[in-house]
Amino acid sequence: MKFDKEIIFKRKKYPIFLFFIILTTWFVFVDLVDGDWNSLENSLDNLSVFFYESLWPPNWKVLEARSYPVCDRNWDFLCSPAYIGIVETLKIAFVSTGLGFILSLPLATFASRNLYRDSVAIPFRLLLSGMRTLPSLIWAIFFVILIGLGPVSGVMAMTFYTIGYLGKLQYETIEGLSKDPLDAAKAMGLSNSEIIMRVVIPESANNLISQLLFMFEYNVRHGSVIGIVGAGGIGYYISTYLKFLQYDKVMALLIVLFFVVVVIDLFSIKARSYFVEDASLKYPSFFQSIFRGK
Amino acid sequence: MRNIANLQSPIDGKLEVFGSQSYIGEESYIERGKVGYIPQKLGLVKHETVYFNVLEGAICHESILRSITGFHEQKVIDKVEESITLMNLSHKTDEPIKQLSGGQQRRVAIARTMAQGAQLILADEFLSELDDKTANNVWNVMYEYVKANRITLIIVEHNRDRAKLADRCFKLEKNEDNSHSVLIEVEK
Repeated sequence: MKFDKEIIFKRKKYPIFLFFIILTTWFVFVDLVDGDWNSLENSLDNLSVFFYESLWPPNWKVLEARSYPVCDRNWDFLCSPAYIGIVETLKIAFVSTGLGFILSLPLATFASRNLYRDSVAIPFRLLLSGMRTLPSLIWAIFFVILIGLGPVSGVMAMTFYTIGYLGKLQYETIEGLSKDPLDAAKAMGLSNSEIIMRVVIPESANNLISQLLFMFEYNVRHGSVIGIVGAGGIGYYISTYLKFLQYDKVMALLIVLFFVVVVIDLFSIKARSYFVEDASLKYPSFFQSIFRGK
Repeated sequence: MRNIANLQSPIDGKLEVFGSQSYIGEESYIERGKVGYIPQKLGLVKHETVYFNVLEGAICHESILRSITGFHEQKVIDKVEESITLMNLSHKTDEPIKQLSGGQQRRVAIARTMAQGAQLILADEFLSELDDKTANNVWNVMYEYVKANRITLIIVEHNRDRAKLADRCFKLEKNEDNSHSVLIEVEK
């Protein structure tokens, strides 16, 4: 057999690629640690000390009613910091995902290069990537300064980030649409707004909805972070307990959050399966089953 | 073909479609709905129903505001139903395109150009991927419609027997120095 570097490289590209990734990651990691291996070795001991002294067992007092204001609901649980926090987080995530979706869709269509000229698309892309550059935490700090503490600044912050992130996913979906339906519609003489309503949105509907569900799940996870800067939600309670060094309560809240995220995850996987291409052959699409009563 | 459909501006020379001219690097404006273009893969919205796709053609006859908001004029809806009936697809009106056979999908594409009231239909390898029997069926439907309504049909076709049914046939060939291709009219 002839020995040829190029052919070997082609046939073994996956192992070579994997090896390359492992090698570079290791070198950069060694560079970051900078000879200070002792602190890494101690970290495991520190973790176990911290875990058993401060975090464990979780303090389930967070599931009991707060002492102030006085609870006027039927169950104590409904006045607990955990319940109030998680419900507020869910509300913030829901509103900001919805608002973000409505606002990002028009921006995403303007940013698609198969619908608009580059001179239109590129400024819109820059706008979207600008909104995405700042993480929602930074947006939250910004809006807490502008609007003040509370869930409204949380909603604004997450909406802005959602627009940037969802907009990118959306324009990539639109650009991935097959060219033929667009060509046929353009040749008919339909205007861009008609093409968007009659071709682009129906063709990409499944993807758009699955992205929407993904974004909601993402926002629930991030909703807990932005509370730390005072933008409402369960993060507010987490940061308060952190300040007072009540790590066992923080642990309890984190466990609650974990379960909520898992439940949303399961729900969204189920809901998304209705909209994924392959599944639609077996199951009727979600829209069909609603509108036709099949 | 893409030039005539106004999807690309000509590389060289001048192109005149229904009295509107386009030059190099410049696209022309053709009246809404006059040109019907059927791409090789038909360009139907696959997730949507036959009705939805035919309606896409029919909205050429109403204002943009109406077509976007979905308040369609009665004549537009009549036009859609008429085209679907003419193409023998009435029993499939509410079926999504991806559940139709290849021949049926092509009939939907014809119904769409019909609803659009196109004077010029451009069909790019319209009958490829079909077996002979279905291809002949679809071809006959198209042929009758075009003849009856005095519509110009430009079609790219590999099957010589079917191609001979056209009024004029052209062949794409390389010119002598192989630099570019030219269309040559051939005798039937």
